[in-house]
Amino acid sequence: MNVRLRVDGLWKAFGDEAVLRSVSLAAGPGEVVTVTGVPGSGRTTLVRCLTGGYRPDAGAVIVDDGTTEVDLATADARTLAWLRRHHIAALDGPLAAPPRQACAEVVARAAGIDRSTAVAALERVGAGAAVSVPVGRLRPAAQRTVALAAALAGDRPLGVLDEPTPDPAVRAWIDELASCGRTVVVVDAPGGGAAAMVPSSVRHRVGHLEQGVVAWQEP
Amino acid sequence: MSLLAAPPDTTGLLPPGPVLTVRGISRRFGPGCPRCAELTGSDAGTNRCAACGTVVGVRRASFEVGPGEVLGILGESGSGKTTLLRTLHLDLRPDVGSCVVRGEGDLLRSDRPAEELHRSVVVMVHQNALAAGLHPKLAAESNVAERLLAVGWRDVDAIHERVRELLVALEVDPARHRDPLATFSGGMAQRVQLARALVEPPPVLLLDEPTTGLDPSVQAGLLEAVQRVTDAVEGATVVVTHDLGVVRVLAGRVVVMHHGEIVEEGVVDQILEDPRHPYTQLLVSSRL
Repeated sequence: MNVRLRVDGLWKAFGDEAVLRSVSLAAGPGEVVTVTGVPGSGRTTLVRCLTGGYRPDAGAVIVDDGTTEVDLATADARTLAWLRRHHIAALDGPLAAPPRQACAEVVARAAGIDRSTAVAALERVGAGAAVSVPVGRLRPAAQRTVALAAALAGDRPLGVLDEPTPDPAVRAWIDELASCGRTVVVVDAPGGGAAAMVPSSVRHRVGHLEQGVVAWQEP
Repeated sequence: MSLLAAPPDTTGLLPPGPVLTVRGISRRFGPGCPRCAELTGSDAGTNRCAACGTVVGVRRASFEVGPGEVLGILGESGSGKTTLLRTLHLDLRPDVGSCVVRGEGDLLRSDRPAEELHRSVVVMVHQNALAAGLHPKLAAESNVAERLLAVGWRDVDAIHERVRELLVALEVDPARHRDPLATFSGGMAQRVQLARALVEPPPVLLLDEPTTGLDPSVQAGLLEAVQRVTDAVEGATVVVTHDLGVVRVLAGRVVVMHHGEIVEEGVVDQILEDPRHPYTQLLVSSRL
């Protein structure tokens, strides 16, 4: 199954401070959309608004599979929880898991895959050594890599990734997912994402987030 | 043995219909008066009516839980979360409201005996295993076997095998299966209680503070066992806790209770990272 993501006039403020001021974005199956921004520009806020982790103040975040459209900004919590579990692969920090659980089990459960696929995913992101290690024993950066493995593995049609490791193997995997029809949004540091990207046949679009608005580069 | 159920169809963007539908449940303790509604609740800052002394335990609680979903009920002591859970477990009769399981009539007004419903429809895992009807003088395996007998198992060898499977799946050391429950630590006794709940995964599983009162290292291990149980339940799971870490690991969605009222509902990250209601903001900011 494929989905299309359409974001229109997305606005998110914390108290009096508006972090996102009318962000618009569109991504379809087979596409990698990268949004770059300096730290503090609202990158993580954008990822969380695109994955149902934050509630936008205005605008629409529409996920569309061709037969059904769901606006994450207005959907009820049960629908959001369902989409987050089965349709959206989000990387926005370490996974919530029992601290004693081995990383392979954590990835398998989060991505809805079997253990051997989870082990392969951990190896592919360079975390093969952590397979049997309790996730609570890892440092935050390593826990993030485990979360990345869970976000890239599995077959959820929409991936939204906050600063995936700038590793050619990870970039190649992201492009591979897109070439299989997934819709991928990557949020990254300026230069970090776009520069490290491996050449491929996948359609890439790049925008820059500044002062709460995304300016899109000409293709 | 795998505790995981066969995967349901998850291709649609909209969730399947709810397993558990709770509508407008209210329960007060005391006579009640016309002013209770205005003098109690989250806005009033108390659940005790100043005019008549009635305590409004739960007021108009409504929510739905889908198949395979885990809903967290978060709130401080006295917020009404246990009253709500006891109502759903038929230990307390609500003044008004209904609770429908799989579209089959109101559970709270069912004419089937509570004992039967507790076996086949709504199973509770209590905070304290020994207060939950487990027998301290009986072996751990007998405590689980009792449950199998209650649901109609009669073949002794099959019972033995199944009990062993369940206890091993919840990581109870086989060398201790025949020891009396009274000799078990709190965490181990809790695992036996979880094994009982898994004898026949029910349509509705209620967990009341499943890891509270245990030291942090035991809690961390038990959390994985609880997660294994909630994963195995294809029905609706409701977990009551005041622990934000527990809710983050176990639940996908949360309702927040304050002075008997549900003040906010959301996906776990929304509640923990982007809370809207002032009480939820206070609760989340008290995180250690």
